Amino acid sequence: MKASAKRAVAVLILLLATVWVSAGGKQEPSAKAAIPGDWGKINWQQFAGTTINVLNLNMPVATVYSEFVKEFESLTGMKVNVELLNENDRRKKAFIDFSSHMGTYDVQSVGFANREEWAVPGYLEDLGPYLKNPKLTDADWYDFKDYPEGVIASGYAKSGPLVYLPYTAEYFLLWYRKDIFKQLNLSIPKTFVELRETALKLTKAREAGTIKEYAWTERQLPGPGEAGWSLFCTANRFNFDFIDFDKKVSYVNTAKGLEVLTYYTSMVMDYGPPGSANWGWPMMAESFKQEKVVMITGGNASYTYLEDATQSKVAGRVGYAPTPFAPCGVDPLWVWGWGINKDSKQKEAAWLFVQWATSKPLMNRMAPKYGCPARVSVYSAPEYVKAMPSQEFIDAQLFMMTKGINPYPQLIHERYAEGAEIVSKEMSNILAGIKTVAQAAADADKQLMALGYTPGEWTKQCK
Amino acid sequence: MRSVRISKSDRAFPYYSTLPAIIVVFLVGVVPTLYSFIISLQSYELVSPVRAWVGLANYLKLFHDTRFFHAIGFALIFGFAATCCELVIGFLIAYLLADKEVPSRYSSMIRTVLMIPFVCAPVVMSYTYKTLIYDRTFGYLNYFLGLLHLGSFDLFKGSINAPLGLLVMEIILRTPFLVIIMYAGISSIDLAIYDAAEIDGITWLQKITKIVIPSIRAIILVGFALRFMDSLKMFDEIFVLTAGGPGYITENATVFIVEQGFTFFHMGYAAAAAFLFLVLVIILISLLIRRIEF
Repeated sequence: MKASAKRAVAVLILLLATVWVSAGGKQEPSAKAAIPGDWGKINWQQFAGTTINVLNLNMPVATVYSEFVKEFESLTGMKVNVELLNENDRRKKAFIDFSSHMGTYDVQSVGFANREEWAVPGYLEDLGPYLKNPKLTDADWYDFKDYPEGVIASGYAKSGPLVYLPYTAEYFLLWYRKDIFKQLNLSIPKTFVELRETALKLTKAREAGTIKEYAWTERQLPGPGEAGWSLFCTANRFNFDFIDFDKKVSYVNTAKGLEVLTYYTSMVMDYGPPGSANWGWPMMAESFKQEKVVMITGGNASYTYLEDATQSKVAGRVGYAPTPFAPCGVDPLWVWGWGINKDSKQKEAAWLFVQWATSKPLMNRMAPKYGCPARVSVYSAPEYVKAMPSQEFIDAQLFMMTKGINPYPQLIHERYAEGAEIVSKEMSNILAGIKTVAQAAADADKQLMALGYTPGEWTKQCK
Repeated sequence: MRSVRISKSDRAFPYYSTLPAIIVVFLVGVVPTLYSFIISLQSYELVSPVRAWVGLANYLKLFHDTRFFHAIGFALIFGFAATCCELVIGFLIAYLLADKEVPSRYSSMIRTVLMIPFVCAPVVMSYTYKTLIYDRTFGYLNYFLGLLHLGSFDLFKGSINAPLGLLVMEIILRTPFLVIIMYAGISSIDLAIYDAAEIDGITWLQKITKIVIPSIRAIILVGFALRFMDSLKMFDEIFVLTAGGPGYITENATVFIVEQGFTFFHMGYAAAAAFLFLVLVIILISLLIRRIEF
């Protein structure tokens, strides 16, 4: 071999070796960084070397989790691939993975509304046996009783198994501008009548030029994930359900149904910004942050949107209160939890992730960053209290968790999407001025009849 | 005279070279279409693991679904209206840009600027229209209408505004494509024809109707066919701007199919709707293509 060729080969080998080493070839694991917290008495390293795939919704708490995933990898020696998607895409991708039985995602973020639609076909693993397995779970350390009864009940499918463990407990709160309330000497509305009176006072103040904001807005973009959700939750606060999905009975075209539809549409038409009839959650939240409206209902998990001064003009000026209720009204609980894919090829390793992701030590560290943990002990932790925007926010949450939520809302049902689509589409006809409330309700009923529902009479009373 | 012999390998070369493309088209086009047809014959719900063969039941159910017929009707009417408007406006712009009085660098610059909305992702442009243009609180349109005391435009008021808003947006975004292809056609007309016609005393209207349009007739028909097909299957713009509302007013066939399949998870029903729509589009385009002569 010529000398020049030998030199070239030597340089090439040197270059390849450099690239290989810097890309992290086969290296000895570096010394584990100390991970804060007590992690119980199980062997977290029992599945070291395993890789699991996790599908999560792109939301504030997912961003918080991403800060801690490396700690889990360090604790367990496992590798975690996390994919974040928006709600529509996440649900579709999850369904495709489940129904094809590929088991691509070992762990899925399960929303309350997903529970039955995934549990009924048997897509989710029963987590009960994992909680009871001493090799996999230190029961005393995990402290299952730390979940409030109403919140953990949401993790059980109607057929019985525990299909997910919650990490958030969410519901709507009334977000309001406390600076404007103070300026106009307004009290926080507790009932729908008071809410309308407050909205009227705010509207008069805007017309007089005292304030520039509109009084109120709600989600109006038709669809089960937007106006449908807000409308059905509002119905629950009226102590009413538009549809009984189990018995397939429609109450849309009843006196109570008309009352709720009239309230919802008249509030946004009379007191909301004009042209907001195609606003979904993002536009609604943005309008509040940009000082366009004084009051909206927003999830307790979304407070971080408001309190970031780089994105929100109202940071530091937001008040939080329980949503207004009619007598016996409640707000549907919403929960996000972690579930295991029944087709996962490494369920026990996946369980370690689920257990870690819902554990007390992690929740105590994460909750100050996202605000709505599912474990009740966290709400009195000093770090959590210090990190929340106000004691008013914590008190509003505790009120809702203990008195204001419905842990078994009708609308958490696999038939919800179709029913809510029909009702919200007809509601949008009311907002557009195309139909009256009576016409829209009657037409919604007709469409539900075509799907096999029967009209019913609403007889539930508040005692 | 010696005859030229083509070897076997030379004769086979065109087939070998196109085979990879044919395989890809088959795998991503034909196979999913066949699979969709199979699904359309089943009662396939994503929320249920059980799939049963139901034959043509999904198709029969579609024929009784007024929402489906409305979606098809909206797709056809909107597609036809949008394409016709784009053709007329596109032709006028292309004709003006191709005028020999217009310096070519100006014509080139204008064509480039016109293409900007066309090359942006439809969903990005749709969000731009929804939030920055049409929205009454955040949008520019109503701001300028207010300055000029011309009232306001509320996209979700009445049953006309939403389709009209969609139509205007679609025309602005998609006309540039027709401008480009018709400009190419008009530019290639032999100038000697114009000169001869001017000697005969032709008017500007006769120039357009007797020379320009007949010369680029095939291009117009191809442009119409391509744009019509595109607007029939429009999805992003409707989904973002109106979500098919108010009510079902702006719901077209594609939005209907996506709702059935991915919101309600009636996959069999959605596949049947998709297949029927595909057949309809193939019939329409076949009728159109027959009229194109090159």
